[in-house]
Amino acid sequence: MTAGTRAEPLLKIDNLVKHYGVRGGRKPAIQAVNGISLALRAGETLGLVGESGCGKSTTGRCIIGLEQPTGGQIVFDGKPVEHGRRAALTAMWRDMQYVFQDPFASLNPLMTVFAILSEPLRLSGMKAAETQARVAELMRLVGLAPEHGNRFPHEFSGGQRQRIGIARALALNPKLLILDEPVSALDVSIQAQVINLLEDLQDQLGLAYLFIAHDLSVVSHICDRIAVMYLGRIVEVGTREEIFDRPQHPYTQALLSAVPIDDPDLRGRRKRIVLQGDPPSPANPPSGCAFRTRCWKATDICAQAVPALEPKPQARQAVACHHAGALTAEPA
Amino acid sequence: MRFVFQRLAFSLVVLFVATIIIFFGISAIGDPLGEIRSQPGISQEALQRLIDKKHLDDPLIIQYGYWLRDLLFNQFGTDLLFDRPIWPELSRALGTTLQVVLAAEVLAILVAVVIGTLAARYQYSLFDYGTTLASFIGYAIPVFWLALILQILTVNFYEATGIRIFYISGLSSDDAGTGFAWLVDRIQHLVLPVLVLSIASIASHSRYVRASMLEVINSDYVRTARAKGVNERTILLRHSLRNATLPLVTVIGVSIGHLFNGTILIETIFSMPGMGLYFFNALNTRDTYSLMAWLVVTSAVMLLMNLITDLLYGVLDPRINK
Amino acid sequence: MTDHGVAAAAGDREGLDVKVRSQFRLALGRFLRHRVAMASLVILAVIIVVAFSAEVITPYSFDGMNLRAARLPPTLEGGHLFGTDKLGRDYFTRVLYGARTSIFVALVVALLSTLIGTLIGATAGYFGGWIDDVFMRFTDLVLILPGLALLMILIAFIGEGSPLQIAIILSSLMWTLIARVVRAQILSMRTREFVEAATLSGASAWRVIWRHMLPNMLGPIIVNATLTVSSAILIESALSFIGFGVKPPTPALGQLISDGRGAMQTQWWLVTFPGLVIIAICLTINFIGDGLRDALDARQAQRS
Repeated sequence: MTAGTRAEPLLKIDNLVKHYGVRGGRKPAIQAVNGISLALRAGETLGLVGESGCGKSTTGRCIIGLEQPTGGQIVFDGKPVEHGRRAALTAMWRDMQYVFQDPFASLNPLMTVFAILSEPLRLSGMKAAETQARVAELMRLVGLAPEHGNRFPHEFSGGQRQRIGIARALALNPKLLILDEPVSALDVSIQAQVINLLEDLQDQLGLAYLFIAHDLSVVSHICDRIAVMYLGRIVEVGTREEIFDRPQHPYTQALLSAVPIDDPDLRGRRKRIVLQGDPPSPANPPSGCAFRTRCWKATDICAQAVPALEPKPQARQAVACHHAGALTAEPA
Repeated sequence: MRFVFQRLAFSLVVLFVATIIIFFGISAIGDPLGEIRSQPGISQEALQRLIDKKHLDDPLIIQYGYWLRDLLFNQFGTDLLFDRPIWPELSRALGTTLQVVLAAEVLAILVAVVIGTLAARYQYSLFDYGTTLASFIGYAIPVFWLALILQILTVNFYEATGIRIFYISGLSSDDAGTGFAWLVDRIQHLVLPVLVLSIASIASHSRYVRASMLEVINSDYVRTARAKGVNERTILLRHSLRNATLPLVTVIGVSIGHLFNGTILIETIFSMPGMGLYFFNALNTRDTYSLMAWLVVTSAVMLLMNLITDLLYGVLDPRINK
Repeated sequence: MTDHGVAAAAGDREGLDVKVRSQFRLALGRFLRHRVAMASLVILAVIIVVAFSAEVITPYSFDGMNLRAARLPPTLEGGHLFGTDKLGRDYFTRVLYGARTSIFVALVVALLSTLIGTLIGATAGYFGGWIDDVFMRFTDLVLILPGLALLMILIAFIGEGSPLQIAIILSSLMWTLIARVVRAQILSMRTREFVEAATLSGASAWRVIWRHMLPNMLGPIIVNATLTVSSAILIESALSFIGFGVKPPTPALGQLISDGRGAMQTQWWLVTFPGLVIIAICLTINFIGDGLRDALDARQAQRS
């Protein structure tokens, strides 16, 4: 039985926890991910958004198996991800792949594009002739000319290199792509091109995406649903419309207030929320709600109890806040 | 203070492990009695006495125990050939060698700091290229060869002018006198060995200082000082020197290790009764006990040097001071 | 399928028919432009060729005695470029044969040390765990004990004095330098994205090391291998000088120096020339290594 139909999610994450430096000793553990639960259906794009250090990349790496979780369970395509077993992981990587953030560092500078793209194919047992055809197909798929296959990565631009990375991820026809800030290192004009490419590929191949980003405006186009992360926890998750039109969590509202508005007429209408204070360290998260140290709505209960991620009566999306609600009052 | 004790304890543990490796290593490759057995006219009783004394009939681990006990409490035991206690002669040798090695290292550091700083200050000048070339040559010169060449030159100088400027052998003259005259005589004996030993260290240290100094001189905070109008000399001496030379402290330990290697070579050339000569004689007579004692003492000295430089670095670098 | 970005890309490259210039070519170009290194390469090549073709170049043999021509200083015209020793043997010939031995030992040491060091360093760096711990402790101990002493002990007790065996014994201690370099490189590369991507493509640990990591650290490996050659020459000649190296009658430069030491005040050439040859070989090798470092370092940081 394969998952990924409308009924079963393709990817199910249950209370994922990742702590670094866990030892009996004096140094406190870095709580990178502190209990994350998510579900992703086939063909869907879920955005995972948060500031640097919130644990979104770590989440992605735990899912794909580059890191070992400290706790929780990840189920992909009906089977739990076995982080200890190399053979199980290798089999899983035919159906789940990863696109890295840095187009410069994600390609071996000494290998031609052809060699880079043919590696996953050859390692899965494909014959030479078939590989050649498939590599050409992959390059065309991402908008590159197959004749350039014998060039080296440094001869391509950043956007092209990212396409090569995407092509590599698509080599074995995966069902799910985890994209770790795939456009953050690119110029803004190129970002749009790559995102459009990703959307086209999704239509063509029926892929599901876990799209990790720190910029809400980047995900606004491509994501069906969006989860907002703060300091290792999800603070709000809902559809694109729910998050953008009716954000309930103060942090989401602050993030949205920083998204540039393209229509000049609409500018100046929105109140810009500037968060006070420094982001807390993941080695020493605040008690209760992690956001309370920068939140204008914080009260005593926020320090005592970790808010649960659940739908609130006034909106359909799940929020983790004791004082969830639309932005009405002026933040202090 | 706690840090000091921690490091000291750790060093002692390493030293202990070293003794184990030294003992079992040497025992594995060298039969203590091999050389003696091959000597003509050695009687069975003498052989047996030796076996009893060194407990050579017992299993290795027991031998190790006896040896360790001798090491700690019994003047390092006795040597194989003449049954004399090891420590007195070994400690004398150590003293001699330390004079040479430490003097060489200090000289190397002083010269290297000057050369490296000037080379960095006047980068791309003739001085810089010249000293770079000299460093490369310094790396390529065999220590023992240089010792011989200097000996030849010194003797030629003496034959030409009649002046004994440096001595080519021994630690002191027999008629050195006392007080200041003795000191001068000692220095005259030490100059050549110290010079020869220090060449390679000067070469490597000066490159290190130069690179380090270049980094500092071109760093932002020095640029700021310059922009504020501070004159170049003060920049060099006050702001840059300390930061640039601090990394050198970390290299001293390794450098002294190389110097110990060097002394093995040149002590035979300069007839200095130090660790090098001691080791050489012990090895030629295959005296395993002297060899093991020598190895232990050398390791201890190296560990001590590493410890001192670690602590020194911790003291001098304000980032580490807690 | 619309063509995203290819049109834009054509604009920021120099045209579609740019020749593929591999990293190797670029590094080679840089090296060739490094004048000192090139000159050293030429000089070293000359020395090696001359040393290994001694039979052809000199009319004398290594131990051909001619007591009537004993103790001659070097002369430019006539037969003896480096003079003769007390038995009338041509010194130039002897130095050539000695250089041959030293070079042979040094090359074997560099080769063996590099192989062993790369293997162990890569294993320690990639797999970590107890292998790494053992390795680090071992190198720490090696640093504490004086290397020359250890070599002498090994040679004294188990050595028979053939150049090959001497080379093997030297390698058994000298591999640690390259191992540390390789280990450090592997550690820093383990988290490089293209390495992780290779793992995700299904590459086994050894394939990752061999195909992805090692080619990207050839620079430091080659540079250190070069420096190992010059270290080996110095160590080998030191050992043969004090009598713990290659055993006679196999010739060695250190041995020649040692033999000539007794008469060095009057027959200075006996000591001087072998030493100068050692210096020449080491100096050229060091310059070449420096040139290689410059040429290959920029390659490591190649970005565009």
